[in-house]
Amino acid sequence: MAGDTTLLQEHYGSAYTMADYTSQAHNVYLTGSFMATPKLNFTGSINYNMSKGELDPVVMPDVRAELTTDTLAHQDFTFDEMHTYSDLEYGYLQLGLGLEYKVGPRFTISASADYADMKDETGYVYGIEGGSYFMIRSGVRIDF
Amino acid sequence: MRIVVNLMIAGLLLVMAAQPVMAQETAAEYSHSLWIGGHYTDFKDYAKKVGEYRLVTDDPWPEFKILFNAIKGNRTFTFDGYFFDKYNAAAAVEGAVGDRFSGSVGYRSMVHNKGQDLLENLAAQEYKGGPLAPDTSTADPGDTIELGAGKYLTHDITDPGANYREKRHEINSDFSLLLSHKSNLRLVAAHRTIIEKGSEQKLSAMHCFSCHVTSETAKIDRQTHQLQAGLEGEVSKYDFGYMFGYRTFESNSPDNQIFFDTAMHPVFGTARTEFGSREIYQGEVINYGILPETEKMSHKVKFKGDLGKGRFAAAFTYSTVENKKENFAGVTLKSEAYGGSLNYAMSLSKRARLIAKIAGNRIKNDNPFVDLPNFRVDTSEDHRTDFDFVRYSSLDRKEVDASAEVVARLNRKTTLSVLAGYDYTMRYDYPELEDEYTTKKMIGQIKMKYREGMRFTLRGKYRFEKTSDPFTSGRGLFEARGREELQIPHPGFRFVFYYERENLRYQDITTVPTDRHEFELKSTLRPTSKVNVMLGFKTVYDKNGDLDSLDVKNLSFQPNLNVTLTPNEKWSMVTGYTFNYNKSRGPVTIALFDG
Amino acid sequence: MKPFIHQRWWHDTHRLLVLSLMLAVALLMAGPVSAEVSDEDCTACHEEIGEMYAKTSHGVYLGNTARAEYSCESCHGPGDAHAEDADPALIINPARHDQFAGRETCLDCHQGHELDDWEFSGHRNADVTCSDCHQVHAGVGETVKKTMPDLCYDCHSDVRAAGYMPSHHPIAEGKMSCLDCHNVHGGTVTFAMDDGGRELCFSCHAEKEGPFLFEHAPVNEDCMLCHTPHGSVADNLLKQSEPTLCLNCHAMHFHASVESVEGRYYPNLNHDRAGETTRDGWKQGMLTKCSQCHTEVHGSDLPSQSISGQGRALTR
Repeated sequence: MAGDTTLLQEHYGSAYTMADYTSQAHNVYLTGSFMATPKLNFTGSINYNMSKGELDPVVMPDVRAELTTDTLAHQDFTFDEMHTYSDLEYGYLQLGLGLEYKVGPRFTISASADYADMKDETGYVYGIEGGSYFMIRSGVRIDF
Repeated sequence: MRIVVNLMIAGLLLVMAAQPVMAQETAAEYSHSLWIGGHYTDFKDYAKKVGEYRLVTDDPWPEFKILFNAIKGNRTFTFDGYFFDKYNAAAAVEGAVGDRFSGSVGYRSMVHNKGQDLLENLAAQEYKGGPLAPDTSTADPGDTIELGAGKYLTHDITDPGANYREKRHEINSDFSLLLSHKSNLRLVAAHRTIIEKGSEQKLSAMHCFSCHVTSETAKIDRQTHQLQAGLEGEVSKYDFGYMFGYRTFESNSPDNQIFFDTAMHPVFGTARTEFGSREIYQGEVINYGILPETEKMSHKVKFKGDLGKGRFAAAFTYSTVENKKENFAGVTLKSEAYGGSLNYAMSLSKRARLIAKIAGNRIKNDNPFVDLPNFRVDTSEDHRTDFDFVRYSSLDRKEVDASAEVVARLNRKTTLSVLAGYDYTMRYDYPELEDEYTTKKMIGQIKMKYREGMRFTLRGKYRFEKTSDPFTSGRGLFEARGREELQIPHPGFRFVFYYERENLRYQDITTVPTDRHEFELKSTLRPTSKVNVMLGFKTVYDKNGDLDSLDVKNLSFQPNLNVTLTPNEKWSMVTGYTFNYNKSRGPVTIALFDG
Repeated sequence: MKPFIHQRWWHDTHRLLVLSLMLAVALLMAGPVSAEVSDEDCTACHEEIGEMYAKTSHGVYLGNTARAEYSCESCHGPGDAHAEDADPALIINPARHDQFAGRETCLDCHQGHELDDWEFSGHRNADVTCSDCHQVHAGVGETVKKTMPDLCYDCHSDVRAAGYMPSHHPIAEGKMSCLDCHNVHGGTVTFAMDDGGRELCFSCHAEKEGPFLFEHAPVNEDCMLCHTPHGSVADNLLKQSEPTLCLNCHAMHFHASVESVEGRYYPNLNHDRAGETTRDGWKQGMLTKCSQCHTEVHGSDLPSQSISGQGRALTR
């Protein structure tokens, strides 16, 4: 068998290492309501989320030291920067304030404002996705 | 938009129609409300992540809600409608006449914004120590460029800055009609339609003479219809039912098509026959990213009733699912499944219950023959390789899950539950391993609840799962270093091809865990009627104990705190904190190969 | 499919007559007959509930039956002993009807198929009772204590946090409800067709079911091998971002070790595809997001390009 074939020295199997991937998220929230008078009610909410997903640096063994030919000379088996390609880090804040005022037994007016802000520290493949919005709402409820 | 308005009008008409009916007799309860208002939204910077499920425009929108509740004797009627903006609305009508009839019809819509992958990471040229050459792309004659010696990795976005979003409409209905009091015979039916429209980014990848990814805008126009209908009734002391299920999915969007480059040497443009005969397709405009067209049917018979000291529920199901779109093998594919389940719960004593469950399932699939072009027709006949194959399905399987749980009240304050379970999955003709592949899982679980009146509750849980031969995607991970059999080319070949090395990978290696431990504690403290404190902690640790040399493991933990305060009638607050932590250790593997 | 109420004995007059006769005989043999307690007697003490009760679904419904004046006893059973001693132990309180006390009072009437598996459900085994979530004495349209998802978050506060993670199902936005996936009364989901847990996901994401000619084995196994349904840091509810998730089962693409030129490049045969790159260009290309090329990760009917790969690479 050996006489019929060529033993190609560049085929060494695989190189591998172990790497940790960590994802973590902190979430804190507060919602509340305050009935100032039987006719006037305030509501509020805060929500904050901080999330990260990270691959630890990938440190491959020095496979080049084990190669016996230069066939793979222009291959690069180090992956020192790989962990930076796909890291994720976001911060997400939401605030809300609202009020309801009962004008009469059948009429209630309400107004609210919401603010949200997303911070993106990494970009990944979609570019920086950070942004914010502000929303105001108002209206009247009629019970009949 | 039109469907929302139509539903709103239909709802209002129903409300008006219901009024005289509801008003005929005396005792009745009504509650109606109408909310009219509007909102204005102002977005800054990138809007699609922070407003992923919002209409991301800076326009003002009128907004209204209508709610109508009525109950009169044994008749009830509810209408609930909400219009937020042109993509976000909901309406539902529900009604019942005693136990004779109940029904509901609902609609809801939403929008889902999607980003555009900029593909900026896809730009490279292979370097093999090539010389410098004049850069003809610049005006300065002194500019030089490193001449690469091989492959390119390039990308093209045909529609930069495209606004991708999907509008989703869902209509559902639900009815129950009593046909006979004698056997409590009832006709039941439910329906759901999901309509998705919009546009999305579609990527096509080709490696005919270099690696190239093209981004295009594709239209979304999908419909899913689901229907369930059947009969339920009583025979003697047993309840029975038959349900027919039907679901279809289809896409009406035009086929995505693109020209795949002509295969050739990436630098010189030569050897077109040789390169072409390594590819199934090249040098032509063809479809890509095509969605299936599925039709699913199921028949389910169920029984429940008292048996001995307990109560049982049994069900038998037969279902088929067919992808009616003809695939590359020139056939349509169908799979069928049949199975049954039996649940039984009984009182062992005044303080103990037994809950036993067993379910089995068999799924069968078509196994089509995939006829591929000959590989490397330019070489002599001896060197050609035939890659035709029979596609066996990884879904072809037999599954049995069984568990028995005993829940016992140890004393007035403490309840204990002990569960033992066994899951068995046998995959026939598992394609990656070309043989049967059986996974067995043993489950043990203990739960405890301690309750000190209304003031304090503590729940604890420990669950352990031991799995032999867990799921593997097969041939995925790596070759062992130094295995000489990997280094011998086929007779007559000068090279060992990458696909040959794939065949010699560790075939059944998997990082799916064999041992899993889950521990959870949750306490609720109510020191006064005004304060409720909930403190919880959950942790999961798993590892694959079969991989001695690979330390594959996962650890997650999640503490959480939730406090509800109602200090007086005026104030109420809910606050809390949760931390999610997950750390996984897994392999990162690369073949030592010349790329 | 949600029968409002089902009281078969109201309709089965024959059975009612026989039962009444048997009850009368039994009561005569047992000695003194316990007196029925009217709603008016109950509300004399439970004034607050009495005010609300008449406006509830139960109040209105039972108010139109022959038991109209004794409707409290329909759920609470005979009340005479309790009325006499005011001892809570002397009357049925459905709210305290745990799993060891036999069938819940509510199930005597509420027998819809969505409750088929209540006996075997996780909530039942965890001593969750109907009144933990439902309020019986509240007004029409207020049968649950809180609106979704806050009702569920009261106990499952860990899920609340997941709903605010960067990738999530739109529960916090009010576009989905917990009930879209979970049957809180036990058993399977509404549209499940009983061929495994994947069916739940396919009921909305039907395009991912196939069956496909070219499969991705984990899709046939369990969606949760790659996804986490309540919320994740990574896009598309993935447990980890690509490529790490993929590397758990697959080796890197072998092009990842190719060294790239530095700076500007333009392909000899196609200058339109010129660009800027770095020495790590191939690594960035191969180790950032696998699904840029392997787009059809849930399966495909069309082959990938290379013959030697047998068309299985899920790129088309």
